[in-house]
This record gives sequence, C-alpha cells and structure tokens, in this order.
Amino acid sequence: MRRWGGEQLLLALPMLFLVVFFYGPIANLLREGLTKDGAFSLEFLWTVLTDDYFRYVILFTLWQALLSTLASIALGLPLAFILTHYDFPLKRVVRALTIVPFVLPAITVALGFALLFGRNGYLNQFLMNLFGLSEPPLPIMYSLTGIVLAHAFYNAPIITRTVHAAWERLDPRYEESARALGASRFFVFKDITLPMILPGLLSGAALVFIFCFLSFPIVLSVGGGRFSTIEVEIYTRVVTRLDPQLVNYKIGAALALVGLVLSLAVTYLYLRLQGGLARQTEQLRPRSTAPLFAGVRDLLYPTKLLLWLYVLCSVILFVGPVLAIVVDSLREETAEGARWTLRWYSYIFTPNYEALVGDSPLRAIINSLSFGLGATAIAVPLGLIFAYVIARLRWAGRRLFDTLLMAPLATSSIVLAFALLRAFNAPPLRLVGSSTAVIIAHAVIIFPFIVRALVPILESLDVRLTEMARSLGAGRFRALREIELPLVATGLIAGAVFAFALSLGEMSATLMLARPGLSTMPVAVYRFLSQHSLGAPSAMSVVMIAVSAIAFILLERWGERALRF
Amino acid sequence: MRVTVKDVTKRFGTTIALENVSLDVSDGELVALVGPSGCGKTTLLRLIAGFDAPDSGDILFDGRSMLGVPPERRGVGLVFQNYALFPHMTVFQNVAYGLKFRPTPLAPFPEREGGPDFVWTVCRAAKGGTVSGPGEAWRVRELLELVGLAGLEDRMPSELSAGQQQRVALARALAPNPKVLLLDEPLSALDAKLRERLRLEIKRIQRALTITTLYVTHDQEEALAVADRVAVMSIAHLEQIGTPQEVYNAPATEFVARFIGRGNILPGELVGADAKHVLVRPERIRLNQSADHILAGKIIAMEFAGDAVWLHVDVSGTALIVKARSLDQALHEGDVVHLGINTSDCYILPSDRRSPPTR
Repeated sequence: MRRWGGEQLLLALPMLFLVVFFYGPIANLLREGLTKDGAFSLEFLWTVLTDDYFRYVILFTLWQALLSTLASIALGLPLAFILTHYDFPLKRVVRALTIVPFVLPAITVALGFALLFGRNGYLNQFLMNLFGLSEPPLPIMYSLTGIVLAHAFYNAPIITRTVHAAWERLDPRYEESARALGASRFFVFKDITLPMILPGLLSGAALVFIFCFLSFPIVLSVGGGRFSTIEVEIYTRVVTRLDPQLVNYKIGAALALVGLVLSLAVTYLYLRLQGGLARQTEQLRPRSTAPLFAGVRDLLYPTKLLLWLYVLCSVILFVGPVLAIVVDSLREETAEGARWTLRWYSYIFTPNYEALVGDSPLRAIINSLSFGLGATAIAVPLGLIFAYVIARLRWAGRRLFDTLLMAPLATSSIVLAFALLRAFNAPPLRLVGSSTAVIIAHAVIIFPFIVRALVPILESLDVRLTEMARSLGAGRFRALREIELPLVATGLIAGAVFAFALSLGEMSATLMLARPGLSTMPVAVYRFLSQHSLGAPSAMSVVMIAVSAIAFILLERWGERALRF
Repeated sequence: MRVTVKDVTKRFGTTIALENVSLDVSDGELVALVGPSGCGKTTLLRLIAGFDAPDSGDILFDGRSMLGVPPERRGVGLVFQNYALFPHMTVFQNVAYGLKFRPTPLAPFPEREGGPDFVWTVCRAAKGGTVSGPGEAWRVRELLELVGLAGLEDRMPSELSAGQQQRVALARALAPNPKVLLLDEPLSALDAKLRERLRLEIKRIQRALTITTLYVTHDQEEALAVADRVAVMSIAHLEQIGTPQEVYNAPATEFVARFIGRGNILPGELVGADAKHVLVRPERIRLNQSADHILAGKIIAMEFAGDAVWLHVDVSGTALIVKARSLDQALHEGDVVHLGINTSDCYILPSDRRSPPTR
C-alpha cells in the first residue's frame, strides 16, 4: 500500500490552481449558458442548436477541422515515410523541425500566408508578372482553401511526428517475416505495416482535429472574417458587439458548451488512442535506410520521382511563408520603388505609440516577454509536481489525473478567456484588465502541455536509482538533489523553454483579455495584419520566430524524450 | 534444396560483416551456424533470405543464383528470435498468411476424407488477398498438429506463452512448404529447460519434413546438440564446418577450440611440427591414475555439476580444468592431485592463420 505522504500533499498546489482558475470559471460559464433570469433554462442551448446560422457555424467548424485533418495527413504522411525509410542530408534537422508547430505562433503562419498567397502576395505577383495576368490567379487568402492549407502547414508535422514514431517502433522483422512468406511490398504495407501504424496515425489525426477545431488566429486572419467558427463566433459576440442585455454572453456560453462537448469527445478519443500505443519493450533491430537521392537514375523510377516532387512542394509550402516574412520585414515601398531597409526593426524597438495596436510596439514586446516569464514561473513548478505524481502513479490513479488534464487540453483559449472574464469581473478577485489575468490565462493554457511534456521525462527516471541512493545512505532530499534533479535537469529546462514559447505565441486569450497597455506581440501582429499594414508585423514576427527558433534548438538538444504528443 | 554460399563478402559502411564466406548446405541437412554475437551469422542468414544483397560473391539455391530475386520469391521459411508474430492477427491468420501467396501441396492426412490435396492460391493477389481457399483450414490444422498446438487457432499471439509463440512462428514459416528453413536464434528468448525440449522438437520436425535448414545460434551447446554439421564463425570469417564430433574433437583453429566446449590449450614445443599449441579436453585428463605424463597440481576451485565436478587445478603456475566424475573421490579445495595425460588424448592445434600469436 502506497503511503500518502508529503510528496503527495504538494499536489494540492496544482489542484488548487486548476480548480480556481480553470474548473471554477468554466463551470460558472456553462452555468450562465444554462440559466435564464437565475433559473435553469435550455433556451440558449436550444437556440444555438436549432437556429440555422448557429447550426451552420457548428457544422462549418467541424467541416473545416475535418478537411484540415485530411490535408495534414496527406501532407504529413509522405514525410513520415521518407524519414523512416530514407537517408538524406539534414535528416536530423528535418526530423527535429517537426516540433515547430508547437513553438511557432499561429499568427505568424497567418501572416506568412497573407504575404505569400494574398492578392498582392509574392506568389500571385510572380504568377501575374510571369503570365501577364490582370487578376491574381490563386485566390487562396480569405477562402476555405486558405484556412485548410494554413492548418495543414501548421499541423502536418504533427502527423509526421506521430506516424514516424509509430513506424520506428515497428520492428522491421514483422515486415520481413511477411515478405519471406511470399507477400509483395504492396501486401506487406496493406496487411502488416498499415494496421500496425494505424493507432499512431489515428492518434495524430485526433490531435490535429482538436487543434483545428479550436483554431482561432488562423481562421480569423486567413479566413478574413468571412468564415465563422465556434471560436470566432464567441469572440465577435463577446468582444465586439454592444450587449446591454447580456444576450450575446448567454449565446456565447451556450456555444462554448457545445464546442467543449465536441472537443472533449475527440480529446477522449485521442487520449485513449495514445494510451493504447505500444510501448517499446523489446530490442528493435534498426531499420536499414536507403539514400533518398541516389543520383540522376532516380528519375527513371516513378516512386522516386513522386518523392522528389513531394519534397519540392513541401519545401515551398513550409519554407515559403517563413521566408516571405523575413523578406517583407526587410523591404519597404518608397516613391522610387521597393528597397531593402532595417526601418521596421528600428520602428518596433522605439517606444512610439501606435494607434493600430493601442500600445507602442516596444510595449508589446516587453509585455510578451514578461507575461511569458510569469506564466512559465507559475506553470512549470505546478506542472512538475503534477507530472511527478502522474509518473509515479499506478494505472487506476493515473487515469484520474489524465482525465483531469483532459478538460484544459480540450478547452479553447477563447473559451477560457471568456470564462475568466466572467468569473473575475467583480470583487473579491477582480482581475480583468490587469496583467495578472493574462498571465494566469497563459499559465492555464500551457499547463497541460507542460505536464504532458514532463511526464515521459520523469517516467524515464528509474525509481531504483533513488532507492539505490537511499540504501547507500542518502536522505530523501539529498537523493532528489544529487540523483533525480541532475538526471532530469535538461528535460526541465527544455520544458520551461517550451512553456515560454507557447506563452509567447498565445494570441486568442490575450486578445480577449487585453486592455490598452496589455497588448502582446501576437496581438500587435494581428492588429497590424487586419489593417493590411505590413512591414512592422513582419519585423515583429521575425522576433517571435527567432525566439521560437531558440526554443526549438534547446528542445532538439534536450527535449528528445519530451513532446511525444 | 541445396543452398550454396560462394565467396560472399558484405560490408556495412566501413565494418566488414562477412569476408569471403563459403558454405554448402546439402538437401535436407541441418547446419547450425554458431559464433559469438556480432560475428555476422545473422547477416549471412539475411543475405540468404534476400533482405540484403552481398557486395560480392553469390548465393545459389540448387545451383541457381538468387541475386536479384526478392525475398517473397525465394521460398524460404523464416523464424526470428522474437518470432515477429503479427500481433493484430489470430494464430490461424498468422499461420495462413503465407498460404495467400503460394500454392501449397498438402501432406497425406488421415482425417482428410474427400478434402482437397492442394491449397490453390493462384490469382489470389488479384482478388485483394482476402479470399481463403478451401484447403487453407486443412493446411493450418496440419501445421498446428505438427507443432502440437491444435485447438489454439483463435488465440491472439499476446495470449500465448513464449514457447507456444515459438511453435506458431515455426508453423507459420513451414505452412507454405518452403524449400529452405532459416532459424535466427529461434530459442534464445526461452528459458533453459524449454530450450532443451524445443530444440529436440525442431530437430524432429526438420527430420520429418527433410527440409534444408540453417540454424543460427550463439549457444555452442545447442549447435552441437541439434546439427548435422556445425559451422563456426569468428568475426566475419567462417572458421570451420564439420560434424559436431569433428568441431569438438578436431577443431581447425584455436578460435574453434576455445569457442566449442571447455578445454586446456597448452603451449608446447613440438618436434617436427609447425604448431605451438596442444588441446586437451577436460574429460580426457585422468585423476590420480597412471598415464603417459603425470603432472602434480593443487585444486584452486571446484564447480559441482551434478554428474561431474569441474576442477581448476594449478600446475606450477598454469591453470588446468579437469572434469571428474563426481563420485570418484572426496575432493577438497587445496588438495594436491596428480593429473594423468595420455599422448593420444593430446590434439595438436594447427596454428591460426589470422589470430595474432598468443602470449
């Protein structure tokens, strides 16, 4: 029997945090959606479910998430295949780059897409000049195609990651046994490989579906207001409409309830699939790989030709938007034409008031950094305690804590911010309008990611090492300090950097909670972008991408075991 | 089917896995390929199965070169150390899997009144590979009876014990009636008792089917017990191939002498011979009996092994190992004993070509 000692009592801290700043406010919000004049009522839920417009919004949310998931699979699966079966220069880097979606702010993706695929974007300009067209030939921005493509850009690497991991875990001897029994490559794939990597693929697809279902910055900016998902609908109703009778709040709360139920269902599916993934128990024989580009002779093989084509397309799609941002941040239009400049960088680093942002760009940068530090300082220690307990628990208890973590993972930042707005609007805790509210929102949002990143690291820590240290005479604290901490130190740093990057890229909740003086970089980029003001947002995005890149490099170095989402 | 490996060399990057290895396995023969781990024996097996191609040399089945023939068309049966049973298929589906791709004749079967005598699977691929012919169930039954697992058709691999999994893997490999059976450390994942039982089982089945078999193992005792002939490999080289008696009694190199069984390798000046070492097996040394040569020594350690006692005896600075019947005498550590060695029990080791001279 496990003793419920001091270690476990520490758990009260993260639990209190979750209850006060997540479960409480969310419950309060759902209550609002289910009451009218203080009494229980299904009126708003009924409206949301039966009204043609809201039904359209809900169905569109599901539809774009489904299309985006399929597109992500189509884009991510071939890369998983290539990574598993071929060698090529920079393979390590490409494999590592698949964690980018977790650290790259979504709004920079929207910006990159606008710059590359917009009506006046580089691609359309290039094609118009090339063929002498008067109209942009690729109307990708402000369309469903644009939303789906941007989501695919953002989420395909997740599919690559999960499928590649499943494929690496698949012992090649299964496939070899099938071949020795007479199965051709096609049958081996259909009968053996596919069924065995399917759980990995489905789990990745479920995660992508959740992300796309809850996606806000990309739908708002790439969709351009023509498309409303549940998140966008809640945001516009709560933030931009005058609402004397609070009807929009009620409708928003009912919508939040519907969205939450749907995303909880998929999250549940995801966690089940994740839990069912085979742990690597036996020693695998490493898979032999062939060079991806064996020479010009490759052009004779249709498979190889297709792979080349895929590599080319994905380079354009993945590198293009980021490159477009960098180029745009260094260009300005003048009377004599476009020229290279550092103007935008000096602009964002001077404390001049910018009406579009409602703050100075420098203020936004400082806010971003300080909110990030604050949220990391809260979420990492709490997440560490939570993860430590989970990692040490046997199955039954573990299920409970996994479930507790499920709701924060399945709740969108918009809904969370909305709930915080409603809950902390009045004394005793009047937080709305303060930087504390933003920091707390960030901490809650990044909390489940931190825990999920830290659990594998802590699990890899052999309990017997601690036991050995203690049997050799070290006290509990000494064993912690001299054995456990040094072993997880790099993983912890990677986790903290990951948390900081997540907070830095967060836009949705910040946008809802931000008051003058509280804008962050993503919010500033969004405001610039929605007014079609370029240059400055690109420079700011480059700053964010640089921070993401640092986070990425540290994660690649030290976070090997983390981020097995 | 006769399997011939001819001057095969295989490199992985800069490491040489096999160098000029030649091996000839005659029809129906069981050859055990034995050597320390990492010596290239699994590589050789994979070359024969067709998963890798040799850098130079040839692999022939009945004189026909197999280079360029993909694994699925070589007609080999394969059993891996971890069995690689398809975890998402039942025992039946596992054993039947190979039948989808190869028409397989059925052996005479007493209960098969009016049953088919051939599993017809031609054109199965065109139908998506899911249609099962009428003979399939017969063949699976036949195989499961052969390995003693009839009745477990509907179990999943995870519901079987390690020994049962091993039998299913063997049945699966044998179902399409392969001409060559390749076993890659088939028993290494099992405990010692089961290993001893199953190696007899494998030998029985191999005899019954008279199937050409290559049996890879790192366990020299297992190799000696199971094989018609034993091929001993050191790193990347084939040292000797011969009957179990030959490799034990007349090792071709010092490496083989050290790897197979226990032995005393003594330096010696031999008149009229190039060799510098002599092998005396521990059971040939007589304890306190008259012989051609008598050496006095002190027992420094004893290992009791039930039917025998292994004595480590210090003879003026050289440690010799002696196997004595445990009932012989009351012996104690520290006792002085006389070791008798007959000249006829000394085997003169040919000097190693490759190994550096011993100190």
